[in-house]
Amino acid sequence: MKTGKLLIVIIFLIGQACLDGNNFNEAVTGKTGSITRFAVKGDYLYSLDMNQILVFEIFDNGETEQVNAVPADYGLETIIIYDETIYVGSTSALYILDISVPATPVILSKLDREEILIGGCDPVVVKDNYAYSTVKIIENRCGRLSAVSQLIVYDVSDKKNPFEVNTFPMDQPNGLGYKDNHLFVCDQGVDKIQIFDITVPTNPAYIGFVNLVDPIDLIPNGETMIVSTANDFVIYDITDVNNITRLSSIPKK
Amino acid sequence: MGSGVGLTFEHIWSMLKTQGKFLCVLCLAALFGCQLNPDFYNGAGVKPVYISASELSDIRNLEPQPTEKTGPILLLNNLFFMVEQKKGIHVFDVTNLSNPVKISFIKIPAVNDFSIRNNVLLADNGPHLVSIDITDIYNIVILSIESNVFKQALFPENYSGFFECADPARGIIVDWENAELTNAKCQSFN
Repeated sequence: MKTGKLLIVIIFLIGQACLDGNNFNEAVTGKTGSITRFAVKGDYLYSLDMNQILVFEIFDNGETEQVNAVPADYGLETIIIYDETIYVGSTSALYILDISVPATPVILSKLDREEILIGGCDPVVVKDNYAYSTVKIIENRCGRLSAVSQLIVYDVSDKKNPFEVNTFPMDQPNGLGYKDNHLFVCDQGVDKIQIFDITVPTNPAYIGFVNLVDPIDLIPNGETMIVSTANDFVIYDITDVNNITRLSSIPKK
Repeated sequence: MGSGVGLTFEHIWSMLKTQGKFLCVLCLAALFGCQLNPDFYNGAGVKPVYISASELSDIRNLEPQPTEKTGPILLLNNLFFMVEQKKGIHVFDVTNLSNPVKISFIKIPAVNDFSIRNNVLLADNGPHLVSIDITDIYNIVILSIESNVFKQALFPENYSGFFECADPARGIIVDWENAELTNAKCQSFN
């Protein structure tokens, strides 16, 4: 009996050691919103310059050294990393880059949007084989009186050949994120966080909203979600997406 | 300023292809020192707000600051970080979700964006990349500064009209403010 228990403890310890071994190279990076020009993976920082993706090696002492610069068109706006892949939203396109060799990102594809959807602020999130991106067209820009902002769903199962599978009109969308099968999109134009069910990724179903003035970006985190606004932030309980409740008060000093 | 000033025609062509709808030729000319607009303008417009190299390098902890113009966000365990555009990074303790507490402010005078790896915060500060040890969030330590890696925009974004041409020799632009312009040569159309 005693031997049995000891054996279980030993097996547990070996298991833990293996897990630790697997995580040896994983840096702690926290969770970012979707609107960011910086992304860290392992020992590298990928950062957007106007028309290039800069790669910096981060050394153990915290110092950095630029080791690469991948040329692209102007208008790079947002970057996220999902698995071994970088997704970059620009004012005119979605870039997908492979970073299986971390210091040497390789552009696998660049999917240009139709001309009417060239705008600013184009965050992307990825879940499995689908990418969700918002495109914000500011009205009256360039004399266009009624341009259309959108949420766009891309099939990215073939990273060399992504394609658009669905779109939804939005007012002035900003950041977005998901928890399980629910996608949350900040829509500043109508002062709402729009909620979609993405159980069928190619056909998101609009299921509701949360009122919030000037939502900018969000970070779903387990049962809660932090949402930044133009001049503040709010924390919600999202355990039940049909009954999202505000948790936080105004931050105190 | 580094590579930001040295835009080639190839760059300009690329910009025109991608953003040509928004940036007029005169605005692009502004990048070259605004030689193309023969009409000097006098009247209301905007001008750059510069900070000097010494102001730019003033990176340190401050008492919590008001949130006014938020930027990128990051959640790391019980700490929530939020950029205050071109000023620094707010740090909140969100251990108690119904009662977040503003605990510190990391002053980074020209910050737009940042990321964190282990206990190191990486942020842009104008054209520079700074690396900061945040092991003690109340007593940050600058680890390194990599100079002139990011190009800087030399025109006001989302603005239509005349503006005082940017002069990188005068410092880093952190904002654009309303001003009465005299002999303004730069103009942008959005």
